[in-house]
Amino acid sequence: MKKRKGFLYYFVRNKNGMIGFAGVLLIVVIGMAGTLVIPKPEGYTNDILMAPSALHWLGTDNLGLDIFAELVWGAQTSLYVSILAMLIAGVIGIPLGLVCGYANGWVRECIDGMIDIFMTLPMLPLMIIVAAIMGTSITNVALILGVFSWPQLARVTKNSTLKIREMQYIEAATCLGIPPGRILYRHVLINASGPVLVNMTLVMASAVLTEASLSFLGLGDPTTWSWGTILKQAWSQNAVISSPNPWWWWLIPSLCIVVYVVCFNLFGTALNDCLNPKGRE
Amino acid sequence: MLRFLLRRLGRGVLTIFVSVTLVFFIVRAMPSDPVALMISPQMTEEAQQALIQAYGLDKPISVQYILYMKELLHGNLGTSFAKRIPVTEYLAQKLPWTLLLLAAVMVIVILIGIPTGLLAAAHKGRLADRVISVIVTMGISVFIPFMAFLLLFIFSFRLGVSPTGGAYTPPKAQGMAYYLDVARHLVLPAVTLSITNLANAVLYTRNSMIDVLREDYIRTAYSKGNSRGRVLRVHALKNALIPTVTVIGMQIGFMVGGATVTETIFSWPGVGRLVYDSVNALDYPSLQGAFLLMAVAIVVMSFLTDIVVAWLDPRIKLGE
Amino acid sequence: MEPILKVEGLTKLFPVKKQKLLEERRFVHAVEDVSFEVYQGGTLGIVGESGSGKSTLARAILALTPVTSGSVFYQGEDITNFRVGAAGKRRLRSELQMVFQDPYASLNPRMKIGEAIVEPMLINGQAKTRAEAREKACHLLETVGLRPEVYDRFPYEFSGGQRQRIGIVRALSVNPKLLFCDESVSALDVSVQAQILNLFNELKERFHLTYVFIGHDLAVIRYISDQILVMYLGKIMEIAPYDQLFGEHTHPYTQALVSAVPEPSTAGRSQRILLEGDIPSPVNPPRGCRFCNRCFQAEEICRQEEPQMIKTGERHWIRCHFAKPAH
Repeated sequence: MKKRKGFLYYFVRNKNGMIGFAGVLLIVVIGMAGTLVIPKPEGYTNDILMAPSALHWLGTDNLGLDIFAELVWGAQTSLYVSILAMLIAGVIGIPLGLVCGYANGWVRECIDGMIDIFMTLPMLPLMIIVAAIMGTSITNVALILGVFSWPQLARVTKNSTLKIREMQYIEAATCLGIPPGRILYRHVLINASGPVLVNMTLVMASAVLTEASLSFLGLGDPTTWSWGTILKQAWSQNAVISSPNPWWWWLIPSLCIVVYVVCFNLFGTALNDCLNPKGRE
Repeated sequence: MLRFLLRRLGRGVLTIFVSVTLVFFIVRAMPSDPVALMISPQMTEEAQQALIQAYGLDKPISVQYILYMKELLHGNLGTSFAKRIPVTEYLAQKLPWTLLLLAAVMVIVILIGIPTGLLAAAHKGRLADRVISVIVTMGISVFIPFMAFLLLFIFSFRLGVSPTGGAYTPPKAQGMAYYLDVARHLVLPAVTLSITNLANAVLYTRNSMIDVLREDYIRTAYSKGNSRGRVLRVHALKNALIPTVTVIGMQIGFMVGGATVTETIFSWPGVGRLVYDSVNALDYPSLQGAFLLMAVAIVVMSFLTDIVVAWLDPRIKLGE
Repeated sequence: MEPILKVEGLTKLFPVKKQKLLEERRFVHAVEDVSFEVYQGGTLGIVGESGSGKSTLARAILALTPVTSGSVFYQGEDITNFRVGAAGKRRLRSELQMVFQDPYASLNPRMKIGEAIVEPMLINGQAKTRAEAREKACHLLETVGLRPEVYDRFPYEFSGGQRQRIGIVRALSVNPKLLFCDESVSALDVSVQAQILNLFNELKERFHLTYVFIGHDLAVIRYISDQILVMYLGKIMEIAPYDQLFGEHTHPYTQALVSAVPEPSTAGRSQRILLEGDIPSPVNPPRGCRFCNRCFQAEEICRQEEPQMIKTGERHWIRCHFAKPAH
């Protein structure tokens, strides 16, 4: 009997993956724990537009609020939105993808057509319209992101399912009288988990980008902090081109977003490489 | 061929139909009053009554839907709340600016993206390729406002060589001076908007060129005594560009709408900025109109892309 | 005696994807008008080249692919497409089982061996509790010569022969009466083939099984079967008892197959019949006899008219214009 090395063996040796994982972990810890320690920045103070110092690690904004505190609360929003969006997209997209790949006839045609059409819809403008009408709250934003991100997840699941359903062990399961629903989740989904998981991390990364864009356009939640909201304020006060330049105000939130997305992409790529035996070298 | 075109066209019309229907029902499904969404309170009493009549806002939703579709087929997208002009006219004012921006992006992507991708493919695995790959990875996951802020900070604030926004410096100049002024305003938004597309174009060109160079017919071309340059130009390039064309084509379609953030930051008077302004002014008819325009743009672009790809790729016989 | 399995006029056509808008629908004639019977305790061998429709035949009988026309009877009951109600279906899904061809592809790579065996037992009611199922699974594993420790391992840890034994255990776990073996030893090394074939023979006695054994290798089929069915291009060419297949009066195609079987003898071997050409496309089968364009005996009538199955002896039928009918 041969012994094969497990997923973890490869993952801890994947440098990019570990960097991404560490970054993701750091954001999670800051987003979870930070908001317990640091009070939510509200109202205004007299420390207007102060440069980073021992008192205000990352400076203050035009209302004298601490940027670091805003970023911590923004991290929580980003996490909340991306996790919720990912879950919603998963709940809609994965079953539809499974059924579309496994069913025959008109059921497949219908879901397939739906995926195709949703993939070609202009998503960002659609989300802008819906957000504008629904009103701005982070749960709404997450809902919109999730509802509009399912097609790519469904497509990935469908493509994997199409490959897996041709495998003999699926036929064997049918022959053994295992009901279709159980085949889908015990036999198909578990073998498709690699690409599906990777795609879910990508959904999380793009959810943060889109949430930041929506907040930046003024469609974020006015009652809480988001990295996009900080940027919107900075931009509306001409922070980028005013002198003396409060660079900490616009540069650091932007960097946070970029780091978040890069970490998730690295993490996802490494997951893919380690789950796929061909990518392990 | 005919079968392929018909199917493609049918799918396109269906996409537009679904988009319109979706937006119609999303707008109507909201708890707010549809009359309030369609009719600006600043209108005169008669104008309001006329609109309620035209769109049947006092009738059941199915009737409203049919009326809405009927108006749409007649090219009537309603009246903008904010500008008090027909939405079609409003869009027509903004569309040329967006198209100008897109043309600039196309030029950048084709002139820089494709050669860079080819360069990376030719130096596969060596330093140049690895540097390009890192930049591409960053380019794909870049956050547009971040890019825009950096460019503004460096070129407008520090160096002072670029204007900070708008499409021209008022008052509008005449003749050549006007065109130069517009070009100066165009640079930063075009570069910002190019980044993601550039990264994609480089990535796709590089990967498909590497794949194509592994094909047997390339070896055959060499063994027939063709020079390296000729093999690359005549035999490899056309095939290698197929994925690039597909991805650029799709992205142009999406950019008609996806440029909202860029156009907002640079105050570029295009369709994207219109969306932003309409959101702030709660100008729903304009939003719906802009959305329809984007859906049409995407459908048209993906249709054109398919035709170009079919022309490039002799294996695709358009459905035979 | 009533047959345990009876197939009547079974036909399975696969539609060919239309290329043009206005085009006649065309079909792959995978299995056409196949009828046969299998008796309790017997072993039917089905032999044919790849593409002859033998695997499709098994799948159609087991309702893994819908039947186009014809009927399947199990113990006298019509079970075509398993349209028999939920309870009946559950019974059929345990009494009719299959051991698959590729031991590497027929086990779910992400599922432990034990789980793969226990799952169908619990679903079909062969065991009430997981503990009971586990005990039964371990017992079966020992029966086929595997240690019970394999229960908690994954398929990739096993060789082809071991996996095929696991596949057999999985099929046996639901107490089947009729076991289909689809090329079940083809993917294995010759030495392992013999072990598994012997195992099949042992299990047959022990569990009172009836086999339908499908293969392309006549040497293997001959070893295990008592009745052999020869298929070519979706149709039955011959049904013969094991001992008559190697006799004088057989179908030309059977003769060609028989002559290709290696014989362990030092004597000069008899004339080998080499078939010319390839198996024709099942989308456009030949008009007359399916075998006419490769047959060394073919005459004009073979190209014009399709021969019927002719009974040439006790439990022996041949589809050939030149077969001699029994009196």
